[in-house]
Amino acid sequence: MSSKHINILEVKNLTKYFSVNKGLFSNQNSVVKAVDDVSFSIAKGETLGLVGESGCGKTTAGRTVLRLHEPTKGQIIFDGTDITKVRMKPYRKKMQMIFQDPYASLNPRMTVGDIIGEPMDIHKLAKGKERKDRIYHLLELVGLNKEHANRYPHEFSGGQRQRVGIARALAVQPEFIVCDEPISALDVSIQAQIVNMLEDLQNSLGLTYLFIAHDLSMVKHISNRVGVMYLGKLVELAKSDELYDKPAHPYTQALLSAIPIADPKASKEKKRIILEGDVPSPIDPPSGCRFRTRCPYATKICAEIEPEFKEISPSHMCACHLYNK
Amino acid sequence: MFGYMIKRFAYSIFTLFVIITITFFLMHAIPGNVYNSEKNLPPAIVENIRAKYGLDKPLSEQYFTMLKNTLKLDFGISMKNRGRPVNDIITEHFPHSARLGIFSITLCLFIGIPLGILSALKKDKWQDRLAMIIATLGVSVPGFVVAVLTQYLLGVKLKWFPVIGDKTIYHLILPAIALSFLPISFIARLVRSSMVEVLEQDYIRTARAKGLSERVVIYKHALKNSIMPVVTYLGPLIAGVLTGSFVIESIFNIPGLGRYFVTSISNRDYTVTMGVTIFYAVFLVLMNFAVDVLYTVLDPRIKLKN
Repeated sequence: MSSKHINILEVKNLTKYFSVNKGLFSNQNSVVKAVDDVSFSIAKGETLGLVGESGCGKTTAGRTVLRLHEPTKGQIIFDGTDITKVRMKPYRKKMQMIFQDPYASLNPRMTVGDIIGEPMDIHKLAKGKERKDRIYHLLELVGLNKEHANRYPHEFSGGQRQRVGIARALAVQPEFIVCDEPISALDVSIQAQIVNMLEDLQNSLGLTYLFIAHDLSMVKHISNRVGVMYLGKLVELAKSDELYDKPAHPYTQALLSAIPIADPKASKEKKRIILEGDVPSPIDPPSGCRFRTRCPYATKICAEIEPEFKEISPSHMCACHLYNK
Repeated sequence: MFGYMIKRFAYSIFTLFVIITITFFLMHAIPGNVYNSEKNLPPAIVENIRAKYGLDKPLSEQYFTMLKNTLKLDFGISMKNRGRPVNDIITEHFPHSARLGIFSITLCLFIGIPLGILSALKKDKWQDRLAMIIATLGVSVPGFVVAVLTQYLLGVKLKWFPVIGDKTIYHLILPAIALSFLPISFIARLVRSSMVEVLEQDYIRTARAKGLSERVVIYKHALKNSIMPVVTYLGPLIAGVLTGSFVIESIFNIPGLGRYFVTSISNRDYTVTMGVTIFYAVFLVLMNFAVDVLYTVLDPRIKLKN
């Protein structure tokens, strides 16, 4: 990939396995390959979208990047420093996360003011009046007002809670934020508000996002580049326009064909690619290409050799044997 | 809040009234009398005793006299202990029970809660298994067995602690262990199960993402959210432990209030039974009120409404 920008984040061969105990009387442990050998980089000020079905490992990837899970293998390089093994506290100030479920991710026993203020205390960013002013400022920045600081999370609606979650993430003035499906738990009418707010914040504060979602049209709207994950693997990564116009991987093609079109005529003409079967278990993924069990183009080689994740046209990466000729 | 307190106070008075009434009629319903256990007394003496304690009057009259005296906080005179006022019995023996009780409650909190936290953090590891084996033992082995075992091993064999009495804090160690082994185990289990659940919550991940140290995550975010069941259990526990345990106090020869609960009933010592029951009930009502107030402190979602 040729990039003029300095990459704020580089992820190399990131792998996260979880061991699962099979049962009460069994000592056998099996391994869930949640994220398997994923590499990507994000330039400063850019938004990288990450899409895929439920359970494909995109949330795990996002959490592992922030070391909320310890990576099994691989390297995470933030702003030129390898943070795979370091003490994370100084980096928590620079890398933050917006969580998926605004109902569960705020401590019910703390006031909104304390939720937002606590990171400032920990990183010794502000005290006393300054702390208070910053909390008020952050609340206003996310479209709430300062009277809300003394209330508890349960007194808010879902959209408001997510705003609190965003204000909390912004409290340490981070450079990079992982947005883990920040809108999927919200009403459709609220989703657009939150996404627009995230965009405005990005422009005014110069933020970089890793935007995880399963809503393809939303991801297209907010992302500069989009990565598609399937069963723990990154299968395609390209500029969002390119990916949506010329999807290379059969899985991406199938995903994109599922986006509803608002025009009934065009909708009728559009051919929907229906995938056969279910997603295989990440405990025992298929050999070779992981998508081969559901791929309409699968051939013999797909079962034998794992396709390499490589550039098929400028800045367009794809892992598929169809482009290996 | 103030309105709630008033209302709560009125409810408490009503609760106490019901307890007093039920206790009164139940204890008079038990066959036998305070003078029954003595050798066959001449009828004249029996008449004398009945007249002295007002037992010759109709039950309803006795009941209202008792209510009136209770309002004056006068629980009467013990029928068995030769004219000793019930109030004196309580003020003399309660401190012994309370001292042991406070010591036991302290043990419960400072051992039970950390044990539960440790179990939850090391879930399914050997520390957890060990703690839960101890906790299972604690719940299933009766207090008097623990009492006698510790007396024999730590007192008689190793001579670390005195075996009976409650003169010094050293005397209190063995009875406190015997008294708190069950609550410790119970609290450890309560803390473990709710903590395991809380540790999987999203807001714990949020706390970690903020950059908080593991200690702050556990004590500030997780513990405060998982302490609720312990608080619920603590109300009746404190009331029960402070007012004394008959078995433990007998084994360690501690002159506490506990034995009066039991002996007064078998002696049909009506006034003592009544006084001690009211004392215990007031304690329980107060503790439950304290628990309800504590709920609102611990969980802002709970509001005390009028």
